[in-house]
Amino acid sequence: MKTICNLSSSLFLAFLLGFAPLAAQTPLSYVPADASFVLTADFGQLGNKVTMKDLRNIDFVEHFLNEELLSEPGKEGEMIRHLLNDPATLGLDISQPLCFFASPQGHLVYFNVLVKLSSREAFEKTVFQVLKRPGDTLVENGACQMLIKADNEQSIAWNGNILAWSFMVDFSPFMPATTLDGDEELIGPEEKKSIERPTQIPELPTEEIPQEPNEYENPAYDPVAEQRAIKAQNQSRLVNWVDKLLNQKQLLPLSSVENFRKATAEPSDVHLWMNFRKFMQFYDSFYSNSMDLLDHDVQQFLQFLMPATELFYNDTYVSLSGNLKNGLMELNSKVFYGEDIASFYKKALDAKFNKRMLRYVKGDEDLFGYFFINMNIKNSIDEGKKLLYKVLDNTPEYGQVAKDAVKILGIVIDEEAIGNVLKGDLMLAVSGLQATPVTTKTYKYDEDFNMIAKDSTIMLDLPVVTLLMSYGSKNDLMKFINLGVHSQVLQDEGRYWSFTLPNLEIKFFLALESGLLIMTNDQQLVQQRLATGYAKSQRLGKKHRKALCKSGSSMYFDISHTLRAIAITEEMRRSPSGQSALERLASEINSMEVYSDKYKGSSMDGQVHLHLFDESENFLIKVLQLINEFYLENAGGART
Amino acid sequence: MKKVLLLLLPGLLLSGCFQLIEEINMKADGSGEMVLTLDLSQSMQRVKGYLEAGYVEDKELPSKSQLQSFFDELEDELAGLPGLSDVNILSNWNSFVFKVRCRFKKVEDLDNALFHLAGKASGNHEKQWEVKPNYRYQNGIFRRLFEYQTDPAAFQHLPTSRKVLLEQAKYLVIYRFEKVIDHFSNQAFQLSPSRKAVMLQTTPADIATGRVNPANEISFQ
Repeated sequence: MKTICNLSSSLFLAFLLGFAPLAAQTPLSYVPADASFVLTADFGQLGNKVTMKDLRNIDFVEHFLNEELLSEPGKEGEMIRHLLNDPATLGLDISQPLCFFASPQGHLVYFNVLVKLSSREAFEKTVFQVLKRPGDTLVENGACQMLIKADNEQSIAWNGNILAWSFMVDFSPFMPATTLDGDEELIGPEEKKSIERPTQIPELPTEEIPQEPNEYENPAYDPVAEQRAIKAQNQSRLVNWVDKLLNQKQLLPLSSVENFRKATAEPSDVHLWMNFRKFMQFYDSFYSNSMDLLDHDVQQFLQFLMPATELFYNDTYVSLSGNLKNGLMELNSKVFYGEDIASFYKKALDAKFNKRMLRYVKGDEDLFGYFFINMNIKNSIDEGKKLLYKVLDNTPEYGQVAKDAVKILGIVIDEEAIGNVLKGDLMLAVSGLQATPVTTKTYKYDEDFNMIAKDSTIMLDLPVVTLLMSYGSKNDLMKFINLGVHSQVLQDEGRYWSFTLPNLEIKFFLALESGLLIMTNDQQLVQQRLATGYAKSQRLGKKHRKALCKSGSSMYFDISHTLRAIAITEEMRRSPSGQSALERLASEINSMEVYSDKYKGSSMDGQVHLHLFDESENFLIKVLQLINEFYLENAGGART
Repeated sequence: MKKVLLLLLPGLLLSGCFQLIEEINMKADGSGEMVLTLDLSQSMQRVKGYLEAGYVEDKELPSKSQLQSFFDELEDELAGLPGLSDVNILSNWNSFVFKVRCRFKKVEDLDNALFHLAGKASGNHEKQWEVKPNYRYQNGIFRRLFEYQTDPAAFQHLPTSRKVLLEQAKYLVIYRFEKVIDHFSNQAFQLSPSRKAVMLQTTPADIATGRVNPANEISFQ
């Protein structure tokens, strides 16, 4: 058995070692695990869907390229033209994902752009020659070369595989003096232990690019000597950082983070990864600095809140990926939480969809959209209490008395009782328009055309809005409704109650039916369809029903129908230009769907889909074409 | 075209639905009263927000106190013009309704006032503007003249948001007289039940594109 285990380990190691050189080829493999955010753009994948030729066929894109980029004179212009037409001539391989990431190290933040090199030689003959300036320093470190810019704290470094453009921002003026030094890393003890290796600032051979002597410069009387010393120190830090980055010293790669691997299992055009803990640690440093400006009581309150917020962002990672497809823009999100928050969401979202809601939502061609959230209130309160106790356990400075008081409060807050009033689900649907009497100020004219203002009731087409929530105990809910009736906010109308929205003077209805609290301005629904709801043929379709059943929350927005409804309003009828623009957009943009799954597995997943009608063209091209139409119109051209 | 649009500059800058009302109450001797109203009450919340923010569409907006000083200055300047009296600018900062009211000895005196007002409002005082005849009252006939050039093509080239604004806004013209009207030349106007007033309800877009012309000739019984 032991032999099998050893064999398996050896095979696994061999597998890793075998693939390690391959993995090291990509820009992503150079990104360290403790990066606070990483933005990746896969131009290779995007280029398979949208070519530069497609983009340049769009007038305003071509105009922008010609005016702003391609007209650049000299070597810079030549480099830009190569970059757009054939980046391989510059030694750049943009078929590999390009990465932009930030790595905070104490009060210093290193921002980096990584690009794959296809030919080091071509790069050195072209881009390097354009970028180097008198005064810049060229640092050679074995396989890696760095060009340290003289005028600012940035470097351009490369080895045989990767080009790294790095710049450093010093946030020390905004941070408390106690913050770690720039060379130290803001990482937890466990994390630090795993990546710590001996730090050694390399003594690197340098080659100064000759600079013209400045006859007016006298070092003995240099008034900015201190700034120069700081700059020299920062440049030395930057050299150290780039050396670590390109030679992969002391840095665990991001690809070693399991959640990151899960998040990037599917390819995407654009991907954003955020290490929320690193991000918030950096933010907290700013926040601590500004604490002294606050009142003492506010400081104490905020200090109490800090452990609670830490619970939320510890071990929290956010992944957002975007894909542009034919007729569709797709955004996928994955949020990985720490154990405590994950447990909260798993239980809070553990709720079954109340299918009786479907009876009261009109889902035919009149539907504008809906929003739905399905929480389990009982579990949410229960888990919320556990989180609060955990915060108190982690902050012993508040003492046992505070803990005891909160535990007594926990008895008073009875999750069973609260969960029995409203279960925690909510659906808000906007389904069609209805003529509604509305009181408004109108003007009439007397026999000499003098204006006379008067309040009139006119019929306006207003959206039909319906809000639905599941309830447990009707008796408990009736206590709240009786309060409304006795305070004359609600009028008893038999099977339902009515109330008027203040200021808008619009009548709404409230009903309790089939375990649902129904609030709507749809008079027909409460008067004629309360028991049965809408006919099955008028209800939401299968696609919506399926999404509602599996989602923790979901939203649907029929953009086209909404734009068309706005186009025929009284105000827009007076504006042919507005109507035409709205009709044009309505003929292209179809709908938007947003889903957030129940917490299953290791992450909470969500999707956003924006649909266009034309599925023969890529989303990006179609949207740029639409922008182009309006751009041309506003630039004095014609809309085609 | 541009000149007509510049007349509406304050409305354009503030954006949102607005109403411009031009009222003239004429006496038989040729004197009378003019009231010009810019009513932004329908866009009250939006205008309030813009003024609080201090800018709209990346353009800096004057503050309420600067605007009030502008109105005070304008009031003094209009009061100094020959033939005008009882000049009064009323600003309602709650409902955003602004009225310029003045009396005139003869209706021709209003030409100078409009020239001054338009130039001042557009910020191009006396540079791009010229005095055009707008109103005449001779031999018992009232004339509303309109000698501004319109350009429908230029209007089409405006950004869509501007076009929508000018199409949705209302432009109301009301002329009231002491005598009963016998005849009026522009059938776009309506005759009041008393037959002593005419009214034109149109939009700034219709005026700017030339679809509607406010010129009119009115004779009396």
